[in-house]
Order: sequence, then C-alpha cells, then structure tokens
Amino acid sequence: MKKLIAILILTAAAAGCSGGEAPEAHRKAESHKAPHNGVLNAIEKCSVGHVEALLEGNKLTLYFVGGHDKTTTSLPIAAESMELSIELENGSEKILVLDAKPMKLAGEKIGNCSRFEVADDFLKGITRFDASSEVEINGTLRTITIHYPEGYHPGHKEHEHHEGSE
Amino acid sequence: MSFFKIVLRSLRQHIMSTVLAAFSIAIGTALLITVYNLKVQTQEKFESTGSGVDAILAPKGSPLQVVLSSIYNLEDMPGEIKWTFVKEVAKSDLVTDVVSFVKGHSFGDFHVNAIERKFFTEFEYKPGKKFSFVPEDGGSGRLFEKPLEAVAGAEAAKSLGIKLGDKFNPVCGLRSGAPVHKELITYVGIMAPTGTPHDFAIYIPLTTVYGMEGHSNKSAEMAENEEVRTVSGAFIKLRRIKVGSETMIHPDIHRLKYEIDQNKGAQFVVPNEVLPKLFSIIGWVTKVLTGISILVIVIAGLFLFVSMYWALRERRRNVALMRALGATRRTVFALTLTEAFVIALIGAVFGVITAHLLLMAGVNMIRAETGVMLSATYLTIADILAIPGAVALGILTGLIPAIQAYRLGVLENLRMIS
Repeated sequence: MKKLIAILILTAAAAGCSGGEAPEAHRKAESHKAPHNGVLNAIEKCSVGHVEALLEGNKLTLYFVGGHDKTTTSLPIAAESMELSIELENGSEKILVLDAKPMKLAGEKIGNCSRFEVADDFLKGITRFDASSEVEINGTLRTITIHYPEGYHPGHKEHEHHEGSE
Repeated sequence: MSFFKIVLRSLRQHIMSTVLAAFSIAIGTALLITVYNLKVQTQEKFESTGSGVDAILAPKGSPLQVVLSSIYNLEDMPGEIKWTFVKEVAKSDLVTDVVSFVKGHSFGDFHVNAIERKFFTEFEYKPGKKFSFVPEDGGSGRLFEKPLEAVAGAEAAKSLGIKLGDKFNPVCGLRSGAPVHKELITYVGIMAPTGTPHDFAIYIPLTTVYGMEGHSNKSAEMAENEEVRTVSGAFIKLRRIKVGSETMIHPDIHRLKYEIDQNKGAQFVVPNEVLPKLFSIIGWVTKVLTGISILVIVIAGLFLFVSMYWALRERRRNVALMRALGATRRTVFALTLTEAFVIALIGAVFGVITAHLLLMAGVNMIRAETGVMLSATYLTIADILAIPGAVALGILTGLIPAIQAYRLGVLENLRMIS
C-alpha cells in the first residue's frame, strides 16, 4: 500500500511539474540574435559591438549592432562610407566601398548610420569569404573582422552565438 | 439476485463513504476540466482576436501594454507617436494599410477610441470579415460622418442600453473621477457583434478628440495641422505573399520591425509575438491550478481506496457467505472492482457537469472583466478524457481491495464472525 501511495504522489508531482524550461537555457537561446538572420561578427571583442553581415545575391549589407546580447539594438557610426577588403577562398581579393544607407524609420541619417551596403558582381555566387576594415566607433578606431558564414567571435564559445532565425 | 443489484446494495450499505468518494472525484475532475478549458479557450481567443491586426505602431513602452490597450481595450497606451511618422511607415513597401487611433477617453467603463474612418470600411477584424451596421448581421444605424457622432460596439451598446440617437459626454481619462468633456456626442450606429474585444468599445472620429473642450491649444491645433498631430498608435496591415495555395505575411517584416524599433520614439509590436509572452506570464497560475486539481483527484483516489478497503473489512462475512453459497473468487473480485468503477463513474459524470456549470459562471466574469467572450459549452480533450481517466483511477484504486476479496478465506471469516 505504501508503494502504491508513493507511486500515485510521484505521478501527480511529475504531471504538475512537467512542461517547464530551464530559465538559463532559455536566456542563452535568446542571446546574440542576428536581427536580420545574417552572420554576427564581434567588433574586436563582443562587448564593443557586432557587425551583422548579410549577403544576398551580389549585394552585401553590414549592420552595426550592439555588444553582448544587445544585438537587436543598432550601433550607428559617423562614417559616410567604409572600405572593406574582401578575400575569397580561391585567393582573389577586392576592396569594396560600402555606402551608408540610413534607416529612415529609425531616425538615421548619413553621419549617424548603422547600415552600409554595396552591390558588386564580385560577390555574385560566393558563399564564403573573409573581410576586414577599420571604422571609428565612438571616437575609437576599431578593426572589423568578418568571417562569412562562420562569424567572428574571439574568446567566445561557439555555442553561445545563435545566428540565423530563432 | 443479479450482479448489479448486489453492487448497488453494497454501495448503499456504505452510502456515506460512497457519496463522499464520488463527490471528491467530481470536485477534482471539475477543477481539472475547468482550468484546462479556460486555458485553452482564452489562449485560442486571444490569439485569434489579434488576427485582424498584423502589427501595431506604438510609442516606446511595454509591448504587452500596447496589445492590451489597442486591441483588448484593457489599458491605456504608453504615450504618443507623431502622425507624420505614421505616414512615413505607411509608405513602406511592406505596409498595405495603416489605421491611426487615439486612446485615453472613456464612458461608463468602456474605452472611447478616436479612430480613422477606414477602420470600419477597410479593416478586417477576421480574415474576410469587416464591421457591419446592417440589421441582418445584428447591427443598426450607420458609420459616423460628422465630428460629434459615435458608433458603439455591440456589447458596449448592450451593457449601456445605448439606442440610436442617444447622447453622451466622453470622460477625459480611463479612470472614474476623471473630468468629463462638455461635448455631447450622438450615437448614430451600433456595430454588429464580432465576438472580439472591438465589441466592447465606443468609437468617435479621429480628429474629434483634438478639439474637445478641456484639451490644450496644442491639441486643438492637431485637428488641422498634421505636422504637429500625434496619435496613440496605429494598426498596421502588412503585405502578404503567396506560398503555394496559402498566403502569409511577407518574410521581410522583421527588417521593418528592426528599423522601427531603433527609432527613439516608436516601436513595432506584433501581437502574435507578444501574446505567447502573456501566456508564459500567466502560465504558472495554470500550472499551479492544474497541480491542485491533480492533487485533489489523487486524494479522491486515495479516499476511494480507503473507503473500499474498510467496506470490505466490514463485509468480510457477507463475502464469505457469498463464496459459501457458490460465488466464485472471480465473482467477488469483479463485485468489488465494479463498486469502485461505479463510484468513479458517478464522480466523473458529475465532475464534467459541475465543470461546465463553473465555466458558465467563469465565462460571464471574464466577459465582464476583459471583453473576451468564451463559451461554457466548449469541449476540450479534458472533457473527453475525464470519464475514462476517472474510471481508470477507480479501477486502479479498487484493485487492492478486489484482490483482497479474491483471496478472502471462506471458513475463517464465517467462523470468526459466528
């Protein structure tokens, strides 16, 4: 009889407690979200900010977004354009100039912009590239490193970044 | 004497414990069905109601507050956004329509929403369904055309006893005791019921609100000058694309949302993203209530077990006599198990009935408090599983007493009593 009672109580407890998700696991899944389903690359280190790279056909768009898990917040910079040195897997290289494309609904304008774009046939058909640049962010010259499609996350465990759709 | 007559006579012999066991099973079953039913219905209702609005352009603040205010008329909006900004958003390729509104006024516990006229002519509160004033649909009158005209949602009209031609003074605020505007507004239409929270509001033309007596000069200027005009928010309809035979919202919606969310004064709220958060907030309440219901059912099962156990102990001589008169071990086993089965069945049937009586009271309360209409006759999987589940519990708890009855020694029990 004791066994029966124990089984009944444990069954009830299990039924009542099921369906929960560990808050920590949930928090981690939420962090470092690429807002445009692109590839996040830390700007030198994760705390400074990220560059989200989005390659669509021959168009490359870079979004400057916040550091740590503030990747759904834009990080406008003063540059009107930026030079990006791109290297493909086959060794070919090219310097592309990305122009500021302010997001008007965000209240951005040239000189305070977080979106940069370039369209170039050099980008057509590629699925993998490395790129680098230098931009001034909040008065400090920062080095941009992009590894596409892996992302650039110095000092981070790979599982902490959840790019793409979530 | 037939098998079932013996069962009924036996149950009558311990009628008190039979009734109490059945009652406790009924309570547990009723609680479980009610909690689950309310959860399923509320979730379905909240999610389906928001389908008329793809997104809400709103001031910065809690997205949940925005949804509760703009769609469910349960809160005030967190602030204001510029009319010119709304028009900028309307230019987006991803946006097909925008309907601006101003909240913050009330009458008789109902929100008075100032809204653009196209809300009634273009907006679909459910796919393919627009608001109607046609008597065949249950409406009456017409849409407002002049500044001091209003239309009432079906439930607001019913609750306030509104008739066409009645007049009212809007209250400047959503709380009782707020100042009352001097403008006398006439009801010219009563909307046909939609089964959504839109039924629980009163609507006036958007620009009427700015010039009301008691508002600032700046507000009065907003009626004419669009450059300075602000609104509480705007409902947004998004462009759809065809995927196979189905249509879906354009996948680039997240880009628009990101762009607007970066604006210091505005945000893009998607009700279908916010509502799951609401349910995760109230989810723990459902879990606790479900846990309590399960606990009550478990206790009812234990009670049934104890009552069956003691009833058997008291009736050992009867069982021994039955055995002596030719009843097989299987027969007494089946008799005891059937008793437990009958008690559980009665409890479960009354539990289902009680659940729907509780729901009847609950849905009226929810409708009065939130404007969300639920049904007391709505059936869920809990209704379907309640009776077989309770019967299984009855059989499980009756198993040990039945085995004891099966093993009962005839001679020793006849001798012991005599």
